[in-house]
Amino acid sequence: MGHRQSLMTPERQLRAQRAQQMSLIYTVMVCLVSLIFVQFLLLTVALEGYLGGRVEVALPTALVSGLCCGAAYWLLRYILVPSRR
Amino acid sequence: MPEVPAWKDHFPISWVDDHFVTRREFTKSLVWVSLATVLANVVLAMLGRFRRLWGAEVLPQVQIATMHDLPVGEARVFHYPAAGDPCLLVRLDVDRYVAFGQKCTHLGCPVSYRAADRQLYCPCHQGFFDAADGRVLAGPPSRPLPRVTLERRGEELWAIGKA
Repeated sequence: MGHRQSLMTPERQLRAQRAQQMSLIYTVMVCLVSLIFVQFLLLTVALEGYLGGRVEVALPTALVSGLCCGAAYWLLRYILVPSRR
Repeated sequence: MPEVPAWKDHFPISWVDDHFVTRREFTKSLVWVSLATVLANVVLAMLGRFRRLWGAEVLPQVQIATMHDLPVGEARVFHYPAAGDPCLLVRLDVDRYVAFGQKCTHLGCPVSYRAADRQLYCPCHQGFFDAADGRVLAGPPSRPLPRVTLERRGEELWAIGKA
């Protein structure tokens, strides 16, 4: 393995690292978009409940939406940490 | 080679570069969208709670019928709490009266009573409600009919509230 690493030129290493970061960013982006989609669905349910007089729906949807937001923030960590290097 | 205009030296801003959003920045903004959605959800939950705590309005008490006005199995329209709010009083048995808002909870068409199967029926989109408690039996409505609270005072029937 060590012999192989020595064959990597600094430029190739940089390119490989960049490709890795790009795939990480795309993965995080797809996960975030999915989470936001779920959150929009939850908001729609809450709004419909509110307008229909079923206010008890709003609290559980808010809690689940908060969890989704927490997950989104946790995912953001993955793309913020490499940028600090 | 074309000559660079002089104004580019005085105003060296490239709008394309200035408006460029990196993937990282876009991903960060997605988290802000996520946070805004949570806030909207929390606001709705709080509004719902406050409406439940403070929104209980006191409705007038209105005499709507006497005990022997309506034959068993018949229904009659009355207006409660205001003149523009049609409701349906149904006599299910000798001593059993129920009343509901007449507007279908789907799109607001007036429902009518079907004595044969003890159901309230909306002709617009075939919605069926149970005449005993107003719950949805079939059709597109998703919510039960709002129930009018009745009170018997001697031989008179009074509407005293609406759920």
